[in-house]
Amino acid sequence: MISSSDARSESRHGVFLETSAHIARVLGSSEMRRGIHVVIRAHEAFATSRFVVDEFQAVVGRLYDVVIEGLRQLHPQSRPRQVDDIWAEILEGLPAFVPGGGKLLSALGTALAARFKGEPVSPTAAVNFLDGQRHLVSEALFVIEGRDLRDLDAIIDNSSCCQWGGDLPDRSKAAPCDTCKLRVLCIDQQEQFIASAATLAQANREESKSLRRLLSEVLTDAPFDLLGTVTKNPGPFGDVIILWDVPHSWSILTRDRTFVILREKHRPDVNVIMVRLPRIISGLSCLVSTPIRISSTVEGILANYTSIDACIVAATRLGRKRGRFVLTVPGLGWANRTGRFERVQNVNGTFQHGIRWVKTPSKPRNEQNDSMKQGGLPNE
Amino acid sequence: MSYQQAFVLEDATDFAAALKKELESFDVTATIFDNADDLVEAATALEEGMLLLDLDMGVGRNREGIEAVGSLRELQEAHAKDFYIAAYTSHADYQKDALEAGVDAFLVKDSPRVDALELITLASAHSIDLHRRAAEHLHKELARRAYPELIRDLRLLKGEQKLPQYRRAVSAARRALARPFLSEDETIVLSAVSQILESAGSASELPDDVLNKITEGIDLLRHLPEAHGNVSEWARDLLIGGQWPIFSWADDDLEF
Repeated sequence: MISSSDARSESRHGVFLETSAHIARVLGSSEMRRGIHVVIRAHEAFATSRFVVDEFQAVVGRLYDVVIEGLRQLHPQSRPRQVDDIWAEILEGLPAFVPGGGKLLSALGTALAARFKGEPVSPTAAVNFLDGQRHLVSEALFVIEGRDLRDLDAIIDNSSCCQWGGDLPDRSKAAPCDTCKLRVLCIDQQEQFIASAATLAQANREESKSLRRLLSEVLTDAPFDLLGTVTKNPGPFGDVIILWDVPHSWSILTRDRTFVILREKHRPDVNVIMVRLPRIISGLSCLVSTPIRISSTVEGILANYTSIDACIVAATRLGRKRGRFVLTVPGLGWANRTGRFERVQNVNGTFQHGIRWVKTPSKPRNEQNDSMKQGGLPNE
Repeated sequence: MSYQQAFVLEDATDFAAALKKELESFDVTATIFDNADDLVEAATALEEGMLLLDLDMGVGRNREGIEAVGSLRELQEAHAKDFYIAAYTSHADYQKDALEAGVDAFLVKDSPRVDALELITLASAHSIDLHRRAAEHLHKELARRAYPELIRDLRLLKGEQKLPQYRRAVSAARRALARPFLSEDETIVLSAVSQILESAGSASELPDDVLNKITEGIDLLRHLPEAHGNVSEWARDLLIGGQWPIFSWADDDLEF
């Protein structure tokens, strides 16, 4: 693991970057990247794992490959056209399964259209751009805080195994199986691995259904081949492997709520930090109108905000989950900004409302600079 | 892209007539010859075309087709013709000699329809290869001229007239990125340079050290393929140095 040179006094051991955190760090907005780097600098050390690296490549790298392959199928290759039209053609020809799912694909399409700003682009130009980006992204995965993880002891390997197949690269074909790292997790620490997989199986997450089936299959076999099952199904078991990749008493930086669930039961020593945009501290008075209270606007405090969400504190509960409201913040010059309640929490008699903007406000440039000056630490 | 004329050396007259009919159904003008000398003589007036020779012409004529292939290749060399030569043969011994003589492909007699389609398909692929090679050569020539110009534009960004030069550099990087036949190294450097230039939004947002670094990248492209190993190192240095050449597309509120 590598020590961060400007670690803060409140730093807490090291921080482990999970796949979704890398996606946000490498491919998110500059605001998001700044926030992540503040978190990294607040720790004594940072690291990731071999499994995370492979998962990133299997999701992000493969997504680029699929889109590039889709672009190469378009004819004529050299004729410029609108990105929206090109994208519609690609979508028609894509396979049913796209790495990372529809959310990542859709985000890539939207951003590409924005990048070319309505100017026509040829499939050749788009292929060349994305092909170059694919290489740069693979390289960027290893560079954190101006240092290359590959040059440091910062890629934890608990998952090398000669049996890997499926979506992940066959990583150590030449190695004898008894030197494989994954054996420790799947054989020596089998009980805790199965227990954490069982928790996830019951957690109503994306992989839960597959895990229920796989666990029931593997546990009925005698003797059961957990290593074989895990290596054939990296997707459902991936988060469980990553959970046990995190060093003792470290934090895990992630956007995946699965780790909150797993931590609670199986890794209480680990601190889960959810990747969020840096908060801009406000503390300004605001007025909230909801359909129910349309005639009586309620006063509150805009505690903090980002370009996508905010926290409003009020003496009473302002609305129910998913309910919409209109916000006015005279101090920021905001009038009638629409939001939606996501979470409401009673803290010592005041109500904290986690909200999300329905229409993303375009943030003035000086406000972004302010957030940099304030450090903008994401809430832990 | 595909050849419009075909000469066929074939002594089986019924099969030859059927093959001619099939070739003509694909808008290929076919001429049948029953001896090799006539075919070679007629080929002197042919600029480009497909030539299909039956190498198994019967007793005493075993070498006729192979010798004709050699003559056709000499003719091609001497007069810069574009011949695609295919041969019918089922004899392995003939194949070795025919390859040495310059045959491009071997066909096994099937049906006139299948053979016509196979000949046209193979010859079209051959023609595409030739055109591609010629275009790649042109691309290299273009790169030799375009990259120094892009370097000049980038250097001028440090000077007085920043806005027009910035637009010029952005446009030049985009044009370079839209060219076919780019190598992997070229896509890496041009994609990074284009992204850095465009995300800056203006020349004033491009400090001299960033300009120096991206100019260095374009300069590497001038020295390909010798500089091949240096491009990955350049990209790594770019990232380590904090210049972000990555196109951001992941939504900040994306949930997993």
